[in-house]
Amino acid sequence: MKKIVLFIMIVMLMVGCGQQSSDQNAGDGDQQASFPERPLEFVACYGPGGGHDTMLRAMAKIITDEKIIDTTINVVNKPGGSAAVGMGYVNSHAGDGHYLMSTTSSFITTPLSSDLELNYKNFTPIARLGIDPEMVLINSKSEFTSLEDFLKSDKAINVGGTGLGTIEHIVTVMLEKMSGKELNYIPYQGDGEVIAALMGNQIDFTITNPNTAYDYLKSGDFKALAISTEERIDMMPDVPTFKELGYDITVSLFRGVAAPAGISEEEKAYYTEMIKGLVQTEAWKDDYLGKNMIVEGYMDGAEYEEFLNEMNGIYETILRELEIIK
Amino acid sequence: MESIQNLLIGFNDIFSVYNMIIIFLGSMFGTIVGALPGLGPSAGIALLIPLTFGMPVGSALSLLVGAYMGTMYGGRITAILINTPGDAPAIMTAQDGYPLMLQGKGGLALGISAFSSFIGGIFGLIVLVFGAPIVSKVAINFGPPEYFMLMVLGLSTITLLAGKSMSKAVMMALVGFALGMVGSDYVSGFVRFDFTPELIEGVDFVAIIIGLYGISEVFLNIENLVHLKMGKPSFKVKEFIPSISDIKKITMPTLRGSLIGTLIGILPGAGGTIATFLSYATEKKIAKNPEKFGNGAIEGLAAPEAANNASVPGALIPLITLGIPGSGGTAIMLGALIMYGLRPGPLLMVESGRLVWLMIAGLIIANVFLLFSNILLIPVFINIIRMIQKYLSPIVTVLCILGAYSLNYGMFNIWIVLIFGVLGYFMKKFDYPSGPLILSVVLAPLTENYFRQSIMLSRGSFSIFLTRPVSLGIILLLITIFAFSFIKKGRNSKNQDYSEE
Amino acid sequence: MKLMERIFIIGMMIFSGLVIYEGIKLPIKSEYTIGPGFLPIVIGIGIFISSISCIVQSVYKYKKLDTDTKFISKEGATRLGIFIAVLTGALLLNEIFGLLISMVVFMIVILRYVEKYSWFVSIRVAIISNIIFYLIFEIWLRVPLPGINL
Repeated sequence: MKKIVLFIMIVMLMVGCGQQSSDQNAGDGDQQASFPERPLEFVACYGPGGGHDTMLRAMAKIITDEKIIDTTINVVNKPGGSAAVGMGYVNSHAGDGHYLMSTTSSFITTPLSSDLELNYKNFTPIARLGIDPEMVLINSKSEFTSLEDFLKSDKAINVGGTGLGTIEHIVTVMLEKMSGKELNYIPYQGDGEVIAALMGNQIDFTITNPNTAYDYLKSGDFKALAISTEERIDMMPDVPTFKELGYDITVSLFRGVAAPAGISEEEKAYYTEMIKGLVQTEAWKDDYLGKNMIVEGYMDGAEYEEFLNEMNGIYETILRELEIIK
Repeated sequence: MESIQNLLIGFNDIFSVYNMIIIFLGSMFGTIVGALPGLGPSAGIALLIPLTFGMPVGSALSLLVGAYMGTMYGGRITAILINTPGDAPAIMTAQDGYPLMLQGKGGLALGISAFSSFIGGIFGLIVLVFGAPIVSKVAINFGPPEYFMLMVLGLSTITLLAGKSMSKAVMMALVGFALGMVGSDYVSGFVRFDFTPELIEGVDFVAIIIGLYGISEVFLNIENLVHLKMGKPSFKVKEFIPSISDIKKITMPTLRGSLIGTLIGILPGAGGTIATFLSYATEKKIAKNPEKFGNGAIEGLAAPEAANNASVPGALIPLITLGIPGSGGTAIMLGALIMYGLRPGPLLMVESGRLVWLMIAGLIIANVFLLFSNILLIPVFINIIRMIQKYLSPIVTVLCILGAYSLNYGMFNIWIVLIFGVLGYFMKKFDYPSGPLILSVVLAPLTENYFRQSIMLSRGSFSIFLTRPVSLGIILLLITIFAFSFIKKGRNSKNQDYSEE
Repeated sequence: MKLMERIFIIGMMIFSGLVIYEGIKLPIKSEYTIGPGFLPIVIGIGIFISSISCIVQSVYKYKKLDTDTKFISKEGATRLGIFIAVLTGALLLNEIFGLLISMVVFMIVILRYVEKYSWFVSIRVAIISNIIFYLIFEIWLRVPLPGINL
């Protein structure tokens, strides 16, 4: 019997810890007569701690703190299948505006490279919130000092990036086509592996985004040779754009949100207003964009849809050339 | 001796009664979370982060390192008690730990493994304190060819782990390899074997482990209606404190395991897993009575457990020197560091060196606390099992199912667990080993990718494996190992021939 | 035992066929290195060859043994069959009743009919252990277990 008591005590101790740590949103927001009828659900297509999750939680926090809308927002994770599970989940609520899903490049690539019967056209794009530009990064000890040096040299060039058919790969293929220099692209599993490979001089240069590169640029380990934005960015004013160097490459990773298909105009307008309010706040600019080194790039629903069409075209062409899709 | 000075400053910074209590609670918490199948360091740390808001950064880090280290100790508990390893490195712990449990020596197995974990952890930390900059400089020169060769070395332990039949072990390893290839393949951009969308991300090997080990054991117990016979709940110190002769027996295996764990643990991705398999294989190879391995040899329990915990600080080296996480657990630590305003990367040591040393001091203290708290917890765990031993099968089933659900918050992994439970049941019946299968599942994608990256770097030439010194060195090592084992085998079979005559 | 082991190995052969079939659908070569289809084909063939070797071994083994042990007793098979069927059923019921309630039902049925404890003991053990699981997973670890969904 003693042991049972002991065990129950341990359990209660655990429960105690759990309750202290729970930070549930207290109280429901004012119920409006029309939309929304109940709390909104923000659906992250990856697990806690990932890019989707971070963005949606930052959004939910700022929207609530700044009282942009007075409805409760719950962030839920529907991870699995490189966003396929989340897309399936949101699509199962077609016509219901209470769901808002985070979208990144997997929104386009997962439907293209797998047999998923959904794609971005099955959703209502709400807004693009920001972009992660791509940069050319070299080891400071490299014999080259500019992109031109690389592309004119006789040496075989090995380029590292994360995965095949990704935006890093697309930038490499575009650069290869525009310069006529053969670039040998080697896919690695994540930013960490690519950085390690560049540090150890396993590869000649890498394509990666500012968030990954920043500290290594600051420490002097790496040098940045080009960036894929239209204009130079404030964070790194010394880095020239591809355009300046004569290569018209302006593709970037994007982050946005989308709602299920078939939602009403009223619901769409509600979200557009909410996002407009959000992107103007200082908290959004500093705590989310600044902290994660994401470049501002707001687009409304219609623009975002057009942008998605364009990106889908680019991805599809390249993936077809690589014979990943037939 | 700058490191010692820095470490002393770290101890000075961390030392307060409050922080000590926090590390202790954190490590107890981590042990329990780590013991639940399917939950590991990620869950443990993620749960504690909200608690740390408002704490000074030093205390917050103390709590997290305590929990992190605790989950490493916790993984062995379910491996020994209910044959359900929570992670791939704990597989080798179940190999000899669970047989000991069936012999009624579960408490002793927990005691021995706690002791070995402690030695391994401390060993790894010493290397971290003195060798981090050197180690990271060496590690950075490892490219895909070196990693590929290390994967081959890891896979070669399958031949040493094979039971009576080599073809059974090879077959299981190949099946594991096929399972490891499921999902999207980042080197080619293709998705393989995606019969359902959930498979795009591959089969979670923890779900495979829970099914092959935990659920299949339940099936066997249900078939034969057997129950553990551990007697009534009681507290006997003798039950879980290893005797002097036991300690003598495990000293060398523990030290060898620690060494292998520290050296191999730095490898990103599968360092800990390879280290445990390699140290188990080493012990079996050099043991006087290898036939005891798999039937409750305490050497076979101590060595991999030491290797596992020695690899923990090893995996932290790339994180604190370069900002590159080497394992799932360290990736979570990385996230936690960012939350406290640190920026892990090449500048971490320069900008926030004091906090890093505080963290290292915290790890050392957590290790000491964990040794004691784990020994104190043994009677609790053993007696919980004694209380429920008559109803163990359904309780373990539900625990495994809930653990599988927690992996990804979805039903999919539960079905995976069930399928592999059935497969594991047949494998046990026909004596097919499950160790090689799991090892292959974990190493398959890494092996294939490192191979392809190597060949891509050299543009189609295989010479890349021979022209790089470290890679060549591992090839020579592999050849030597195999040559020796063939000579030994040849000699043994000759002796047998004579005796038969 | 003999027959069941052969069926198991034949199952593995079918699996190897599946692996090879999937591999053939993918490119075998890429520009500089092996394509995504290469290893599945090699591994599939490997599984096939090792299954043949396992069958040969099993033939030799049973030749030596003469007698064949029974794979499973009738009672054992019944118990195991009930166990797996009830577990699968309970997991399917999760859609309606939520995971924990389904697990309570599963445990009660198993404890009562397979392990033959009294109703009182079965219900008590099932409810207490699931309350503890509820406290650990739902409350403490905040895992959002599927709930009742009528």
